[in-house]
Amino acid sequence: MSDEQDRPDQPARRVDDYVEALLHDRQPRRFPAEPEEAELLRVAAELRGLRPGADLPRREFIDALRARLARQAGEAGGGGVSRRALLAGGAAAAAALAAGVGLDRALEGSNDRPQVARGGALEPRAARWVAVAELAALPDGAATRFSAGAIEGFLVRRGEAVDAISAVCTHMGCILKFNPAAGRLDCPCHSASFGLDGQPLNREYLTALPRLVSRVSAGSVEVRVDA
Amino acid sequence: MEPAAPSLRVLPSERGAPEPSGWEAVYSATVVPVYRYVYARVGNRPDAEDLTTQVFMRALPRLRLGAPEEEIRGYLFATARTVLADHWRDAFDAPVAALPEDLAYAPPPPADEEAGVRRAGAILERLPERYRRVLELRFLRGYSLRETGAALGITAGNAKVIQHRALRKAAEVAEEM
Repeated sequence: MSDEQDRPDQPARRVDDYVEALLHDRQPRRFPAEPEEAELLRVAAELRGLRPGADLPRREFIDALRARLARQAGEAGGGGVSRRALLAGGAAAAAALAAGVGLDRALEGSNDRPQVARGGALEPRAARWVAVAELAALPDGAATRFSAGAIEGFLVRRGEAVDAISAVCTHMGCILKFNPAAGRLDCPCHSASFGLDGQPLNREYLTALPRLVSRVSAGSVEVRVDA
Repeated sequence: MEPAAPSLRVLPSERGAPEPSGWEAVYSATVVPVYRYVYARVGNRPDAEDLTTQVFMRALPRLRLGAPEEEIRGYLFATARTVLADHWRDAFDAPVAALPEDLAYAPPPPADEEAGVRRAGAILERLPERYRRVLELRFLRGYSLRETGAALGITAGNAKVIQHRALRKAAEVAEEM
């Protein structure tokens, strides 16, 4: 190990400080690195991605960047797409859904919330109920896929009650598949799975599937979606 | 804003998402993989968010919307590599020539955004036990140097020295992969 004597203090400390910043998810201080130091910084950055979930973006970030891109598109003429159309259209919801985020307006308990999205999208939105299935057609205790506008979901029937949950995996945004043999929802992308209550089963850092607002009306199962 | 009775019934044949406008469809399909790609190379959230923003602000206006998905992804990841190279040069004076591995792990195919994570795991596996242990406790479990030392029965100072040697070894291993 004699060839592993520590180098002079300064470079080692700069690398140590860099590692500390990474481990606290802070922006590391900039400095002109020696080539040898740069290699250590690179490998440290790479190793940081090992922590489960560390490399998944915050939903606030995704929303804010979308709003920023919408402004940029609007200023540039955006190929004839208005800002309002971008923010109020179903495409925004589709984008949010694909990323497994930004479902506020479709989620349970959001009835009283002001219709203001995070990240600067301020267009008010209306919502409407969309019939997605007949109650009588849903098998009891099973999950049935539905699409309604930009919403991709599952209906889970328990007796006369029906729950609606998002069908978008909270890991990478893949659409889940119902696995009837195991009674769970499986992700085709990375082997995540969820119970029919939406709780993650096997990957500790996954969040639960968002619940959608639903009701049974005159034998029809309805889900609330953005207008 | 509780809606009243159903205002519109959607029959199965009428269902389906509206055509997303061009850039939003691109954004929704690529923001997570691009972010993860960037994160795997900077290892912290503020930089990952800043650089991901640069990638999309720079690339989206230039995209030929309607181009094949692979072409669009290719352009986005090429932009990401450029942005990352600029970042390393500007922030740490690390010249682009010192970053050869980006060519080796190229734009991830659609279902393989975890290539970076797997590679990091493979690097760990090739380290001597003691080095691996320290890096696992630090990077995987987020232990402080003091906690790492306590777990291994050594001082925090020792843990720091081993961490430094382990990183040096990891950099060698990474270069050979």
